[in-house]
Amino acid sequence: MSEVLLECRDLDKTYTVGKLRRRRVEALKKVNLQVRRGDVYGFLGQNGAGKTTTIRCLLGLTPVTHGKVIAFGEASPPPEVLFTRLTYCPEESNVFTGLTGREVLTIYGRMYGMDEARLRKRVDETLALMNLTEAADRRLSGYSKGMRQRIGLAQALLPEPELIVLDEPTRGLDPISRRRFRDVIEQYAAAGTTFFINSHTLSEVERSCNRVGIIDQGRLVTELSPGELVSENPSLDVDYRVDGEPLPGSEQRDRHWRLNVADTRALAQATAQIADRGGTVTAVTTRRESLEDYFIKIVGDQEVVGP
Amino acid sequence: MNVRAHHVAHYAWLRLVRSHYLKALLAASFFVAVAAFGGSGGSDSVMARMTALEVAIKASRWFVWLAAIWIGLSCITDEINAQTARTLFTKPVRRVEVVLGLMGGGALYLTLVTAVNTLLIFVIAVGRDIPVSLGSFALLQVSMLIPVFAVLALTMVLSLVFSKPIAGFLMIFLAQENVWDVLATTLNASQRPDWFKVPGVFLLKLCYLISPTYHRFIQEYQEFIQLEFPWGEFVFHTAAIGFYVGAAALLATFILRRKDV
Ligand SMILES: Nc1ncnc2c1ncn2[C@@H]1O[C@H](COP(=O)(O)OP(=O)(O)OP(=O)(O)O)[C@@H](O)[C@H]1O
Ligand SMILES: [Mg+2]
Repeated sequence: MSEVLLECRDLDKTYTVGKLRRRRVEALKKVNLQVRRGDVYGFLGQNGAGKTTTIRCLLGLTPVTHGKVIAFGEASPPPEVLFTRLTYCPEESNVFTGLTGREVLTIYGRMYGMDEARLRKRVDETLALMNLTEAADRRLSGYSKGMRQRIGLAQALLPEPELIVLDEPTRGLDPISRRRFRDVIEQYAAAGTTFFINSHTLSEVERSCNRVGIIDQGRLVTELSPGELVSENPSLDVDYRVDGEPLPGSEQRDRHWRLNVADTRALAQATAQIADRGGTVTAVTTRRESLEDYFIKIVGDQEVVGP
Repeated sequence: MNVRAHHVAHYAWLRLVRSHYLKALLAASFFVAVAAFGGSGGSDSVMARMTALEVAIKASRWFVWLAAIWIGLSCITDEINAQTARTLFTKPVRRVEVVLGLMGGGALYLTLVTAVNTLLIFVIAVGRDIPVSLGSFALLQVSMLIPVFAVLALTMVLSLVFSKPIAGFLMIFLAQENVWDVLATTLNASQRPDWFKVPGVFLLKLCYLISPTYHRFIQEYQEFIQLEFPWGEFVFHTAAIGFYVGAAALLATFILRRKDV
């Protein structure tokens, strides 16, 4: 097992809202998670499930009500230690819009402590990586939403840290930018960078992450790798044509019927029955339960109770 | 030890320089400085021209003071409200350096405003044959600028504790000399022992420093042209303001560590 870079133990977070009539909102309940070196950790959950709150607790942006945060082997390290090894891009790229793209990166790069020569090189590289070279010398107030998001991502990639924490990185990006960004993550991950990514874009997480945590109403429901999903539930789809009655449980697809069977024994039975009815099997495929199916099974079934 | 407060100051400076409100405030302060001289056009007496100069200086001080409150109210609070703090505060910079950097950027900006105003007033004064030397005039302006840093720092802390409007009102209230006057007189007349009374009254008197008129220097302006510059007092006041600013910075750091950003 590789080294744990960031973890929280029994993390509770309760917000108190309202000045006069105080109300408590339990945002996180006993969350335990570990991000190990080399992980691309996808953190999934519905709106309001507590994804952003988890990150804010991990990074010390909000006081923890109860529990422990350990980063790089140290309990709640101060910002000057934590952020030399970890960078963060917040939800909605939150950068002052009076600066130009290049200024933003240069100023933050200096705060990261990068020396000027490396900084200049990295600024050009990250601007190119995020496809912002043309807009580099314009102020952010004249950027589109997606461009601002990309500047936020660029400032997180800039110092090439060990761990990058991203809160909904692809929000507001067009399909081409999404694809590009996925490639960037893969490229950085291959070079050894660890990622912790909040998202509700499941297909994306499924493609780029090697570990997935699902949080629901402040509780970490499950942790798995997308690979586990497939082996856990290997069912088979049988597509067939038949003139008479289809087998019970079949769904109509445009020109044929589809029956889902649990295993190869059931498959043999089904093909025999189809042959009995004078039908023909046109295809047999393994149904890979997608992360989305799984997510909805875990999270969607429960009644959503607002806080 | 890595010191990175100056990068934060640079950031704060750029934010201020590109803010339209402050540009408007700066323009207004220039306008008043010029207008004050324009008003004395009818009279040729030295006295009238000196009064015009005094008005211009007071006006410039008022504007710098207002700008300090404005910057103090907005520099951290706006950062938090607009959530840009989430990007800024996740840089490897100590919280206290972030606070000092934001203060430093503001102080730099106020210095710029004062410097431009001083030059403007000086040029007009020379043009109107008012006898001032740039050296003593600049010294006067510096001695009036330094207390403004305390205003900036205190406003910053108040804006972290209270909402922006409440902090603004509170600051304007605290800057009334009468408040400290009344408190000092009350304390002086009280039955408290002397070891408590004497330093207490003294400290309350020092609170005058954050008032926009900070009148000691201004009232004695005319004599001041001929007088020795009160170095002793100046150094002492500067030390007191250094104490205010330091205490405010520590308090702001303490609050920020426990605040949601
Ligand atoms: N500053 C706050 N004050 C009070 N309650 C808050 C605060 N921030 C978040 N919450 C509450 O905490 C819960 C979790 O919010 P959080 O922002 O972590 O959700 P999320 O998973 O990031 O959702 P989204 O997908 O919409 O970004 C919500 O119920 C929300 O109402
Ligand atoms: Mg969120």
